[in-house]
Amino acid sequence: MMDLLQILTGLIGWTELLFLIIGLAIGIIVGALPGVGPLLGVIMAIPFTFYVDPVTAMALLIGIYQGGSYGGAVAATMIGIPGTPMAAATMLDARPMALAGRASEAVTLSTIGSTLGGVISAVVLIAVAPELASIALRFGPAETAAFALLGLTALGALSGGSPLKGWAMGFFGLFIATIGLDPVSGVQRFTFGSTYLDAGVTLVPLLVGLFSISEVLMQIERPARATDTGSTAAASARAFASILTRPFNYVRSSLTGVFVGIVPGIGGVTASFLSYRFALSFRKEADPDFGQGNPDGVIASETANSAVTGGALIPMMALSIPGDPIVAVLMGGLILQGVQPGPQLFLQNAEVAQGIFLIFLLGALLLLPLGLVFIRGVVRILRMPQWGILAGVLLISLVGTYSVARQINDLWLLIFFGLIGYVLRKADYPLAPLVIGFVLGPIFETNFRRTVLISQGNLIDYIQTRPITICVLIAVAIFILVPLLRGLTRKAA
Amino acid sequence: MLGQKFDIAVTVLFVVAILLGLVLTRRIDLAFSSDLETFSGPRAYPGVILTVLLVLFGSIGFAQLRGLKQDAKQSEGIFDRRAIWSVGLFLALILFVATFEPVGYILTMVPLLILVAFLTGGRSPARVGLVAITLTALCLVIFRYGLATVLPEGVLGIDAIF
Repeated sequence: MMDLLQILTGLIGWTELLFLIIGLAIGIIVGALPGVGPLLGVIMAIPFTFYVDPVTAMALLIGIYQGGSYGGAVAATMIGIPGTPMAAATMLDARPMALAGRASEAVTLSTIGSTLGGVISAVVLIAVAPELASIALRFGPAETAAFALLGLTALGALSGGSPLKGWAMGFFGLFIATIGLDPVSGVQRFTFGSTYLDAGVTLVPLLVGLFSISEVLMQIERPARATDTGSTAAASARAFASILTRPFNYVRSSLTGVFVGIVPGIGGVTASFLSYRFALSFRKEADPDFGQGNPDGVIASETANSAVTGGALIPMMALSIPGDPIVAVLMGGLILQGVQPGPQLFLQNAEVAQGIFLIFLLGALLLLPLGLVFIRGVVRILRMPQWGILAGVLLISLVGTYSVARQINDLWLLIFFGLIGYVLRKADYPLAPLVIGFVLGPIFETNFRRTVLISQGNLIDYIQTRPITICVLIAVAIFILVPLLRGLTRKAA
Repeated sequence: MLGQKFDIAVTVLFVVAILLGLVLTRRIDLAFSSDLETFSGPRAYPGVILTVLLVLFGSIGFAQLRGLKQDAKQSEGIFDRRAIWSVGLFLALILFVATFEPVGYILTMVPLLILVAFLTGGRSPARVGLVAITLTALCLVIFRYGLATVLPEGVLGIDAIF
């Protein structure tokens, strides 16, 4: 134990710790701001890393990454707007909990989930990073397409009572994702000759418009706000008790997050929705329905999207493969420090690699106290007048969206999707499947079409040579058929 | 009844948009002559998505029409006074985006926030005005100095102030 402490103190000093805490705090704030997000936070922080050593630099950047993936849940719970795309799944149950007077409990559950997800993924990162990284190498277009398909099976389950509407919204999201240049041939699709649309519909205006603008419009008609009816201490106690009462959800969601994180190009949104989908299969009778404020829904999505951060670092560090845009920026930050990620990292810069592992573990642990402090501030927001909160939400949504690319067309797109979101909500269509369809659409299409090209027309023969693809496709079939058969059996009964 | 008609109108709008999408799909250029024969071309995937969408919205529309005949649903006040306020705010948002760059961040944002505050329950003009100006200024400082994002100066010339 003493040896371990000596190693820890040798690798990480007060400067690294301070940078990590600053990073976490910045991450929580940028994650909570709709349209800003951890990616922008990490990019903005890169220039500040030029003057420090590699471990300190990574402490700041990893802190923002970890804090950012948690911060999105706070905005999703308190104001019904996912600060980050990953928080869209968290919002499904955290928002109803907050509206039912359990706001603190919902945010505390998110904090615990983020902490445990981070810790478990850190342990996996430390224990078996190089071994797990080799899995990433086995993933070709066929496996990635199959995984995206697995994520898409969540569409019907996220429908909130009307599977038909859930599937319709999911396919609507898939269609929106086809707008822009074709990812394989570069041909224009549904752009009406607009060069702006060549890049496709971007995620920020879509997400902020669908949830934030439509929320403000809906609030004019049906005012609803997050509240806390009991004491914050009692809410925290209930949330902490979930570690004992729902341990499998935490572990299952963490492992889902780590595994999805390892696979390049799939990302946190898939992890949180997939984990949510798994949680649906293990619903406790005493709990409310999913989508109505079920704590397992909050735990599943938050734990998984936090665990993704550790998983995504594995292929980056071991193979030099960045799994998502934020990790790509982290990798850039490391290269700027003169450290080349990849198999040689563990031999040539072993201290840096160990330092990153420890920073990640410490960051996950520090998220708990920092998050709990943050919740106290958040609870104060609940005491503000609703009109002030909504004015602030609209302000941040508009400025946050504009700030991403400083393009006025982003704001046009934002209010267009605001209108779509408003109309869909009034007609009782669920919005979460639209987001998952939009995010997974390009991943599925690009990889599926690549698989078709690679297989030279013999798709079935080709898939037979890919065992991982076969396993994932079997899981897809189970996820589609089991609820279908269950529904038919119930009807027959 | 009004609620049901609104739902059906939304479904009809979707069906029309999907049909238009299917027509546009036919107009997508093909990158290679072999694209028509395989699923690897740029037309096939959106074509399949739109066809499935048409089936799904067709089924939803059919169920809605059946529900309309059986008449189980009551009016949910879809078109009450507050809905008109929402439409008003949406029009204000269009005006905001149209004037954001030429007029500038401060002069467009403050009136918009005042409008939102009044529509969502703000009563005291002085308080609402103060909050709108404070939030606008705070956001300007955060984005300009914290995130290095320059917001449109417009006619005011924010550089002269900050």
